[in-house]
This record gives sequence, C-alpha cells and structure tokens, in this order.
Amino acid sequence: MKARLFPLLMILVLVVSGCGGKDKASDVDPGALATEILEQVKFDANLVPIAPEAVENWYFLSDTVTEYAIYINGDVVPAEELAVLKCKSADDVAQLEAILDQRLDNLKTAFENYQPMELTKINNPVRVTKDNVAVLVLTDDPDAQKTVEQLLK
Amino acid sequence: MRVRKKRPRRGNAFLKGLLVLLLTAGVSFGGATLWQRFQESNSAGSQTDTVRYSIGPSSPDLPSDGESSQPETPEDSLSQMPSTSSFEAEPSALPGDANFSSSQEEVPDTITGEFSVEGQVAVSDKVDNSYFDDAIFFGDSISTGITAYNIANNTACVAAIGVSPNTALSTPYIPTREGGKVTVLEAAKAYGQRSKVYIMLGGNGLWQDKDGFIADYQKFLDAVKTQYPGAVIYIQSMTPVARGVEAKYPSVTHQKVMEYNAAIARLAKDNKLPFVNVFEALCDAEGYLPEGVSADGLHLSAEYYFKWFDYLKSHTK
Repeated sequence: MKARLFPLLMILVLVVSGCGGKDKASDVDPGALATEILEQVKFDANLVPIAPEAVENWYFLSDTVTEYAIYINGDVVPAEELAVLKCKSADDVAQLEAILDQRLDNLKTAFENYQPMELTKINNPVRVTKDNVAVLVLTDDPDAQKTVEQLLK
Repeated sequence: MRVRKKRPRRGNAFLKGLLVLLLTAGVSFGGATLWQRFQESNSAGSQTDTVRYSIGPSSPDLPSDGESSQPETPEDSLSQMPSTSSFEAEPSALPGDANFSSSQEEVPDTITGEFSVEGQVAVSDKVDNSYFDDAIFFGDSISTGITAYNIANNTACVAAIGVSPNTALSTPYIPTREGGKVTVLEAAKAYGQRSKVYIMLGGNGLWQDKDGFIADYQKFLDAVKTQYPGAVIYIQSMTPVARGVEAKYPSVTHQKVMEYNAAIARLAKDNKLPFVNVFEALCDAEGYLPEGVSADGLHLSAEYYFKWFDYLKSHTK
C-alpha cells in the first residue's frame, strides 16, 4: 500500500511545486516589439505614437491593458496602423482582442464611404496573439503576418 | 526463549523520504515565486498595476528646433509633453519634443495678404497655447490631426473622418466606449461648456451645391450657438489643397476650395462671427499646399499643424 502511495505522492508534490507563480505571461515589451515591427514591416505612412491622453480618440483601453504601444497615421490616408496591447495574463487576452475588434469596426465605418479602397487593409488585418500580448497591424505588406509571428515567437 | 527481534519499520524510511521531498518542493516553489516577483518588480517599476506607455522610434515628419515656424522656447510650445502621472513613459519624441530632429526639406514661405479675405480676423498680439485651454475644435479628418500629432493636448477636439456640413448634425461619427456612436455635438458635451469654439468644415461637402452647403453649415452653426451660448465661435477656412488632389479626391479641387471658402467667409460675416483665414497661413504663392507637405494632397503633415496653430495664436478676437 505504502509502495503504491509513495509514487502518487511524489507526482502530487512535483505538480504542486511546478505550479508556483502566476499564469503563463510573456515578457514582451510592447514598445520594443512595436519598434521592431515598424522596422521590419513595410508601411507607406509615417506612423506616429498616440499620446496617452489622446488614446481614447482611437482605442478604448480597459483596465485589463497593462502596457501598450499604438501608432497611427496622422495623415489619415492610408489607413495604416500598429497596436500592441499587453495584459496581465493569457486569461485576459480575449479582452485585448475585443478592443482591437472594436477599433477595426470603427475604421470600417469611417472609411467605407470615405476612401473605400482602404477597406482592403482594414478587412485583412494582421492579427497575432501570443500568451498575454495581442497585435494588430494594418499594412499592404504581404509578408507582415509572417514577420509579426516571427517576432512574437 | 526465543527473542523476537523487532524489525526496523520500513514506514519510518518512507516518511522520512516524503518529508525530504516535501521540504525540497516547498523550497523550490517558494524560491521560484520570490525570483519571479523580484524580476517583475525590477522590470516594470514600482507601479505594476499601472498602464505602461511604451514608445518606439521618433516621427521623422516633425519639425526641428531651428525652424522659424516653431515656437522659440519649449515653454512657448503649443504641444506639451504628455502627462506621465498615470502612465510610465520612456523618453519620447512626440510632436513638440525639443530633442526631435527633422529630415524634411525646407518648406517655402507662405504669402500673407495674397489670399486674404475681407473681414477676416486681423493679426493680433500672439497668445500662448493656454489660450486654447477652454476651446473646443470641431472638424473632419483634417482636424483629427490636432490630436494625432499632439498639437494642443490642452484643448478639446471632436473631429472625425467624413464630417461635413450636411452630416455634422445627423450622422453619429464619434465612437463610444459602449460600442455605439454619437454626433460630434453630442460627444462634445463630455467637455462641458467652452469659451471658444473653432469650426473647420467643408472638405467633405464640396460635392454639394454651394447654396445647400451654406444652408447646412448655417444649421450646424445654429446648433453650436445653442450648445455654447456666449462662446466666441471662430469659423475657420478650409485648408489649401495640393496640385492634382482631385486625382485622389474627385470632388476636391483648388478652385472649389477657394470658392467655398469665400462663401464660408460670407456666412461668418452674416452671423457676425470671426472668420479665421487659415488658408493663407498654409498655402504657397499660388494658393496651393506646397509639394511634400501632404501625402495625399489634402491632409497635412505635422509641421503644418504647427503653422496652423501659430496662425490661430496670432489671429484672435
């Protein structure tokens, strides 16, 4: 009986000790990742960072977002953009994606009667999510999806 | 008599082994947790629960310190550095940053007087950016640049792609956090009463006949007057457009902008409201947006927003 119990107890101990700490969380720095994306993905526009007090004009960030880096095209056209959002843990990442979905919906509405040709980018966004980080890129660069996935590996 | 020796209890060894295992696991677990927390507190700073604003490379369209169109001292700068009271920000190169350097070619001087409009607001003593503390700007996609380029983060700006005189009152352009949209005037209520209102509309309405355009603009003006009784309401001209802009925006031509600006100036005069001729601050000798200052011939580069606001600061009522 004891012989059978001992291995089970060992397994229990190992499982408990392995569960130390928080949920799996990436140590990605949104600012650094955004810099790399800006360097490696082709954009026609000069994207500019949004100031914190202005971000709500473009993105409705919730308390779930712990860090972010967002770049927009101040010239409006072309509809290029970059957003890297981070939350505490992978459990919350669906909320980040909802924020990005909302932004895309607003962009579609804004451009459909304004510059409909920009809808190609907006309807085919680069979306990459890993652990607690969600990325949105709007660009005509056909390799952007692969590039961002590589950067987030 | 046979003495039966007591056999050593195997259970003792088992318990000892288990105890050692548990102790080892506990030490490992505690150590890992402490290490993780130590790393987190070092990398994220002391405010681990605060949103951290991460910034990347600088924006190459921004003006350098030496240019005459720029404020002379950082204190006089329209654009203030974003507040970091609730965000952790790395050193940035946002518009107005004194450390920023420009890679743009020199922009030709604009001509004042050539495109003046009778009755426009005359040159006045230059005010500083605090003049816009109690102002609100309404406009279309061109005005969104005020916020995008952080030109005047002390002011309110309610603008959106597509806003035009015939839609400003009826179309909900401004997204809300709850997922809906509201009109610009509805969205503006969040900023409370303002003492100065700046309006710049027209670029999205040039397809309309002039009479209809002006009639709709009047309706918007009436609504603004109702919402901001007692405020100084500045009617701004449309901004100039580049040569060939109609290739991208078929209803937008240089000639139409000039004609409709004249009509807007008359509207301002009829309403006894100040007309601010931003057009003359931004155009070249022939009334066009100079080459290289607009990616699409219509929207402005960051530098031209500074020119725009410099003009506003020296043309107040």
